[in-house]
Amino acid sequence: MNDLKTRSKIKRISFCLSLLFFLTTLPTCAKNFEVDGSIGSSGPLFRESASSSFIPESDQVLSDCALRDGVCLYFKNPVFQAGEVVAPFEEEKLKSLQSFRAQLTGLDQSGFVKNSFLNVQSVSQGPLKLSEALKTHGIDSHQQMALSLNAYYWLNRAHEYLNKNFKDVFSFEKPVDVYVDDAFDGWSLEKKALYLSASKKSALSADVLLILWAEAQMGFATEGKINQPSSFHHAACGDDPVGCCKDKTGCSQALLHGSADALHALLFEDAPEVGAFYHQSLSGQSICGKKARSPEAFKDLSFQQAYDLCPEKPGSTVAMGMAYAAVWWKASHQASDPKKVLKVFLKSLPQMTGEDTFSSASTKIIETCKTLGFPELIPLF
Amino acid sequence: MSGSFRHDDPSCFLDLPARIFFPFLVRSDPSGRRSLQLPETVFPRASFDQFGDLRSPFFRGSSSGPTIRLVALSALHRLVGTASLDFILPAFRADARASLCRQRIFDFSVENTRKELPPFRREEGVKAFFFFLFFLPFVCRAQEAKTSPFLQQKNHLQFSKTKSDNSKALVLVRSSCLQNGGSALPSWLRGKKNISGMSAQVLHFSLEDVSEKEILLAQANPCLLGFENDRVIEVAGLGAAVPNDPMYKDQVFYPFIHLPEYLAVFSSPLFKEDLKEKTVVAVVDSGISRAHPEFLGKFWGDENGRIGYNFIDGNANIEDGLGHGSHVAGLITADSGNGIGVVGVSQAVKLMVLKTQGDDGKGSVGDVANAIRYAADHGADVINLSLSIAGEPVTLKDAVEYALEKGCVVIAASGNNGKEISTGEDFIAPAGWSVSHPGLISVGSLDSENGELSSFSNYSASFVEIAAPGSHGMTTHILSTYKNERYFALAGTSMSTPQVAGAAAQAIAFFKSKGISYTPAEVENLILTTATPSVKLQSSIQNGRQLNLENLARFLLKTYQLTSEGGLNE
Repeated sequence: MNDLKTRSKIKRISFCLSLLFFLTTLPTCAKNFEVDGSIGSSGPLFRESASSSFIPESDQVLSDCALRDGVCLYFKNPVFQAGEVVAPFEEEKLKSLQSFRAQLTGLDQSGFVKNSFLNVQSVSQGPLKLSEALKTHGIDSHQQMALSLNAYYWLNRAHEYLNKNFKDVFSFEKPVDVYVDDAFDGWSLEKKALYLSASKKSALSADVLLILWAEAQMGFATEGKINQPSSFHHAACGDDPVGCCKDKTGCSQALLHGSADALHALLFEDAPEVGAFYHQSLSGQSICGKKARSPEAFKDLSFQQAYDLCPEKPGSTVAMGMAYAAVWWKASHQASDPKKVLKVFLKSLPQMTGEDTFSSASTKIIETCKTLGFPELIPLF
Repeated sequence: MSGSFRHDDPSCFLDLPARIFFPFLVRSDPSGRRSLQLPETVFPRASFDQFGDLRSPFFRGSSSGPTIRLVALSALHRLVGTASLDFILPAFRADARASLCRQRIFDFSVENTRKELPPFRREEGVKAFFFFLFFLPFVCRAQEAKTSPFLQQKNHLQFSKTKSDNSKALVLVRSSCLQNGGSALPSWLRGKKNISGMSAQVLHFSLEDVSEKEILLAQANPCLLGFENDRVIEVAGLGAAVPNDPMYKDQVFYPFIHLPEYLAVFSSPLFKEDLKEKTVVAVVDSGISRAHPEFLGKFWGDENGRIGYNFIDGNANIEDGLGHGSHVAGLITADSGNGIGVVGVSQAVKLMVLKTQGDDGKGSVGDVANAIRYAADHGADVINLSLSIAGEPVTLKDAVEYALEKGCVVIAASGNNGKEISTGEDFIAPAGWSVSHPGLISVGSLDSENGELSSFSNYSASFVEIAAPGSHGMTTHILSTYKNERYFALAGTSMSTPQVAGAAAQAIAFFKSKGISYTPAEVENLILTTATPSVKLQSSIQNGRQLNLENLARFLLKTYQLTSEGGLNE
């Protein structure tokens, strides 16, 4: 009897201990699951094995990041990761958010944050010594290391992922210099470089990095032809002589912006908004104060509606670009094999020129579907 | 030797051991004042006085009171290594040496030995120097762990758990102890990652997780080589470097025209080597302080080696007896980043100095007209006219038109009469002609303290096209270079004009460097369209424009340099 009582007691204690263990570990598990399972790796484009996915399963937000191997970065961008607005000057808050534990891959043996296709450096500090960054997990009060390592990680991830899976349709081998603390954001065809604003801490945003990198890649791939916009299809607006498309048929600058948005959305499929940290808004950049910069938000908008979206700036190349990106977004969701859509997308990129419109681009895309042997995709365009 | 102490005896300095190993480090002058002297051959010109600034290309810093702050001992650090720092400076307390070895920025106290140091003897110095050289390699090869200041005094923690204090701490750990999950370590240090290839490494921990007693107990652990509070090492700053010219901060008007942001854009690697071409700016004025260090290497020169002409005396003597021309030239192009004085708007400038104004500031219309023609004939790209005259002298008008036809951009001051420019008697030349002459820009003065028109500035919503700072409040004026290699603050539309001229010069240098053709009218249009409209200037300046250098830089960037900014700023 006593034996039974003791066994029952042990059972109850074991149960309580198990319950206690379960309850104490639950928040951690939930946090990991939430981040790990929600973004990037779960969309239809990422059904392949973890090793070839855009974000490896081992890279995730961990509260004890600083105690782990690797570096501590931001998942997509600080605002997205925090789920609330964080300003670039909030150093302490940014530092506490720096918990996306990631492994840097593909580095060369130089001892700096670079490899043969990415050379990440600081305008004020020059190349960043990798040993210093690894020693501190990339955490520093002024975010200098975080800027560099974040830029390297996300651009390298995109490069490695696309090169591994789509090398047969597009080459990403053009080397790019990346300046993480410059006075502005942009990319230069002539200098083969990306520039990220120090004051906005743009290099902490994977979305901004990918948008600029994707545009640059398109510029390099077309040997600058996409950047010679024809005056026939473009109109001046604001201080930009080619800031708007002339009509709803689109223009090459819209193709340029839209292609970058499309690539970003295809990589960050479950979080396609651009500019959450950059524009200090959870929903990302808005266009003409109306819609988030997300192909998903534009998926039901016609080209004419996109043209009319900004009454004071009809034909805005960014708005028109979103409509173009939405075409790809819809195609990837309607296709039985989304990877084929990405192949068509990448294969068609170098064919675009400054003379192209949405309709001529469509013709080229359809031709690409035929060339690649994907006739089933033609109805999507 | 242990514990910090306050020092109030000016005669105290380095400890005796320092003199034994490196006696010529310490010298005393007849008044008994001590100073540190380093041999010229090893550290050229390195010396510092106990209470003075360090003066050496290797040493930068200053001392104040008992604490001597050395900034960037890196040259010494590189030359002799971490271990030898302990060797050279054994007198410093262990905690100071800990800082020395670990960082390159450090504060340290010095011992008060109260010993009388004998005067410096050369023989002793030479002997000790060779003695030092002989031992240097051995010392440098010493294991870091053996010479580590951590070992000499293991615990350097200031124990505090309050949030306001630094609760993060460091511990130096033998790497071998990190194997097997760090089982040889105290439980609060286990599970930390091991960086391969290091004999010892620094681990972080929080004082909030450990008691003081646990730290004391841990000191007996042979795996742990020492403790110290963590500190933040700050980088020099993000973004482009701020000019190191000490009086730049006193040029308080520059932020108003966004010069800092403009400098940041142009110091980007994007523009690297892109401003290799220079703009020739003719300054028609009272001459220039030719020997002023701010103009070193900045002069245009003709085939005879002349940098300009004196139209008053008909010779090449362009020395400035008034200071006005020097001031104007400094605002256009005073050397930036040279560690002295002030900053000019454009560094891509060659100055052509045309002296037409005497020491009293006065000159003849004929001389000014000749100077303008001379500038046009000798390849000036921009002509700065910080001068004005009532009425419309035909000779002057012909000269300006000639210069515009030859491709010069002409920038003219609106004048300081505090009146509205109009036709007839109220016309001010050459500024007033700007309306009918593309490529000629008329400039009024605004007060950069409040953004309003300066009280002295002539104005007109028709005849004055843009404003730039010509005053800053009632007492602070526009600081720039001056005659006799000096600096001085002046106020007037004369000061506003060269800021616009500098902007034009920068744009032209950019166009020339990139092989982009331009006309004076296009340069004028560029400056006017990138200006900021100000409500405060709406009634006094055409469209209320005030110079905005950042807009100018970003426009050039976006239009001619960057391919795209990704639509991020829509």
